[in-house]
Amino acid sequence: MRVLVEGEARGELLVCSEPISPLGEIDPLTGELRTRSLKASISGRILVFPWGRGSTVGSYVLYALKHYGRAPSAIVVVRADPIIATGCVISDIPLAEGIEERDIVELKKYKHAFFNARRGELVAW
Amino acid sequence: MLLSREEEKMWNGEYGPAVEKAIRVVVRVGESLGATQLVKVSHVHASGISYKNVGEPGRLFIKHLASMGARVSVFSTMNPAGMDLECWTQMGVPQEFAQAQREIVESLVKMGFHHVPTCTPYLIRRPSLGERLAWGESSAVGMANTYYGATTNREGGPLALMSAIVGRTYYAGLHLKENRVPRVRIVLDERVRRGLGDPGVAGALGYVVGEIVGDTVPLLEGARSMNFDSIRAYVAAAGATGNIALTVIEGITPGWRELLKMSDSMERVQVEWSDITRVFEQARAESPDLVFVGCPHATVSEMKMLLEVLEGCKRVRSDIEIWVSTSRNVYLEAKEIGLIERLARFGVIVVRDTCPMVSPVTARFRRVVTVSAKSLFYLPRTNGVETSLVPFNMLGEVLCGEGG
Repeated sequence: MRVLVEGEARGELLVCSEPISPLGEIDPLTGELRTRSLKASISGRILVFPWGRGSTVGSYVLYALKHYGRAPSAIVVVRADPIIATGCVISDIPLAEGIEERDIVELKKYKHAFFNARRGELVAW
Repeated sequence: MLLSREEEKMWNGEYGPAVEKAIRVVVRVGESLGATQLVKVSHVHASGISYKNVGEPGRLFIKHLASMGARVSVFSTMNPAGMDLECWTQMGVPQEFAQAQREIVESLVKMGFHHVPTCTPYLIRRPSLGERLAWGESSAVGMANTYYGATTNREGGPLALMSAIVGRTYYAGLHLKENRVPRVRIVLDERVRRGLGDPGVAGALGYVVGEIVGDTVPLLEGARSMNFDSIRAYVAAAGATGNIALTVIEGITPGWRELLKMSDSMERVQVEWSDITRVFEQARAESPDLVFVGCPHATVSEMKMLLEVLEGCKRVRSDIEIWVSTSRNVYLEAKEIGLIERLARFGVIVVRDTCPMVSPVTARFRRVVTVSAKSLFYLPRTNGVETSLVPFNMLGEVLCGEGG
């Protein structure tokens, strides 16, 4: 994995196998994520998904999550895109890319994780 | 990142704190996306203007930037706001919302942004071939790359603001030719090809392609019959359901032959007419309380198409509100030729500077019918409104009362 925004996080893991559009699919006030297959809170969790999609306003949604104390503790994606990267940079949310798509399925089996962005490691249990 | 002497001065704060902050964000995002240098841009378009979308955090972010003395260094435009900046009371926008929205727009104008909020910046300043841009707003990005042959990534809202200040963006992604090469060949059946002159059908195609292709560059074959409005509808939807910033359309996208030659192997995906009708049938189009045209902001020709539909009805249903959203520029153009007045005779409300996606007043509607596939994706998600898509050629069935 390649670290894009440094940081460290430990805690619950939330794995979403679909791409996420922060605008429309994440409520910045509550931290609730709603995609076709998943409805869960991302607040304080290590959030794993393939990549961002949808509106370029998405970066502001990440910034607002941080402002309201509802941001994920870290984000791990297959591929970083400008919208997620910008949101994480201005909001200081640890971000890494380079997880394999097939690992997303595997990771769904685990509830907790430790994310070491300095070393680019994600340990799940 | 390798910085020029000028960029180093910016980095070291020689042009003030706003420039310093801006270049640091652009460099950091650029580095994270693998860029080793910056590139100058000639037009920046920032998304994230509506107070409904960016909320208090966004308002504070933008206001803070303006108060630091930030000024744009290149021509810069802004996306739609959450209300018609003049007629917001008629729209039913609450006072507090209007106040916050005005602050955002005023901060941007103070920074030197062009004063017309719209998602169609290409109608304010036409991008030229090969020109480098830093645009947010996925539908505009799609037009810049796909139709005008300019180059821009899909920039996040705040990053575009920073790019406006420093006049540069990171040199990565679609600025590199190898990333503009198509990887998936989209083959259309005869019926889809024939339907593409209707922006509703083209939008549905974009909706489907975005879902299939995800975040690579598709090649669209046999779509030469797409007109300007069809292409707009297509790229807008593909940028919503997918991460698509460029579609190479055979015969339309500048330089498509060369890009095609650079492509070695392409996965082939067939799109059938049944894939298109599935998008139309996602939700019922019966008894809507709003019919809406103008995502992306309507052109004069789309307004004429709507007028034609209305004039074709013996009687227009009076229980449905009809909205068109457009930019202040296009509104004036339409007004000059009497189009606004003729639409008004059928009760059509033309709102400027905004659209139902980014406005708080949309929440009062229960069921919306639209010709825009992009809003089919966003309206249910951002406003919780049941939304269905129809092509222009079926709009009459929705709008005409008994006796057709």
